[in-house]
Amino acid sequence: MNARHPMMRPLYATAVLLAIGLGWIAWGHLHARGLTDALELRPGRGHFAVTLAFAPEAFHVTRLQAIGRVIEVKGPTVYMMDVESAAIRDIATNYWVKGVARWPGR
Amino acid sequence: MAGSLTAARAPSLPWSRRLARPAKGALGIFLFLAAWQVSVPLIGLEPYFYPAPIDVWFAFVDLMRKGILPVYTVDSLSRYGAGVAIGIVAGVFFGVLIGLNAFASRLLSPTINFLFAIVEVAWIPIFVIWWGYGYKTILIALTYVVFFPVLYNTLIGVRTVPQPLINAVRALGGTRLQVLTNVILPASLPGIITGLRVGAGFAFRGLIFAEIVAAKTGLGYLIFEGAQSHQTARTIVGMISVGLIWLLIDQFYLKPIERATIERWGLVTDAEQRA
Repeated sequence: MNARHPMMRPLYATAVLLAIGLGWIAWGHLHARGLTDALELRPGRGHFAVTLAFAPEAFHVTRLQAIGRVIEVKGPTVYMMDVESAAIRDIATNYWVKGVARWPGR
Repeated sequence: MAGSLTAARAPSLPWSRRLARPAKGALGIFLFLAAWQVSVPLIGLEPYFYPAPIDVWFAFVDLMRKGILPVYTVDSLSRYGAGVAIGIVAGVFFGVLIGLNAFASRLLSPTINFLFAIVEVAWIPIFVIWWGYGYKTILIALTYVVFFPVLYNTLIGVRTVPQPLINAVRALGGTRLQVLTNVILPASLPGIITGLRVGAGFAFRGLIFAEIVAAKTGLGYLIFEGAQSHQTARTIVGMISVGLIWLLIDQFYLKPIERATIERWGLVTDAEQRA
């Protein structure tokens, strides 16, 4: 298949999409490590305050509700209980998560 | 044959002429946006009723910053890809079956013709009752949309395979499977690909409607939710995203696949290659 073959275009497009997808995932993991390394997460559940870069919308609260109990939303911070450590790492991969901190709970 | 066609191609156009067409297209879009922006203060309606292009841009930036648009786009595309893939497989299978087997044709054709008349929009409320809101309903609706164009175009492809080709392979001792895989399916490919392109276009419309009715994520949901919450600029962002994604899918996947198939079968013209 030479470089001008029509099927090269879908191949290039797929390669670009894969590169973007992999780059996105890699960046997300680095971002999550930056936010959660200081927490020294161990397997098990905990209570956390997840701070966003803005006041959360239903979209964000729905995603946070999927990983634990949303107790309260104050400004850009969502207070959550009973969240698995792995789930908090997953949610921290999102670029709209600005900070994650332990919270004593209520 | 493909090689000789490639060799016969017209010499490349100079860059100035190559850029002329996109430049004219961009100018058209710019003029449209300028007229829209100017019309907003003249008409004087509330932004939720008639937002300006600049409001739409801010809504786009906001949706990106909040991570909503990327997630909804990925959700929509994953549903779309799965629905189109299943629809193609089912459409080609039944198209070949009906095209080759008279009994299957008599058995299935009336039902398929009947179902073809019932558009997916009419089915979605029933699908919601059967499978609830969410992925399954959307997937089945998309499969339904893609199935019919692929089936009918496959059928046309199968039924228009020149009989001498089939006879030649049979005369050389070819089995029925060899006739199917080496003659009928390759000869039907242009029809299948045409069906794919038509079905993929219909599927995009079906996806948006299905997401409006049966989803809590996706571009269709964004369009609906934006209108519901008086964030009309978000609705327009959703609409523009749908249009752009369709253009990209068509330009980068469907058109090249169609062109490669036509080229393979020697039906391409010089004008089509340059288009």
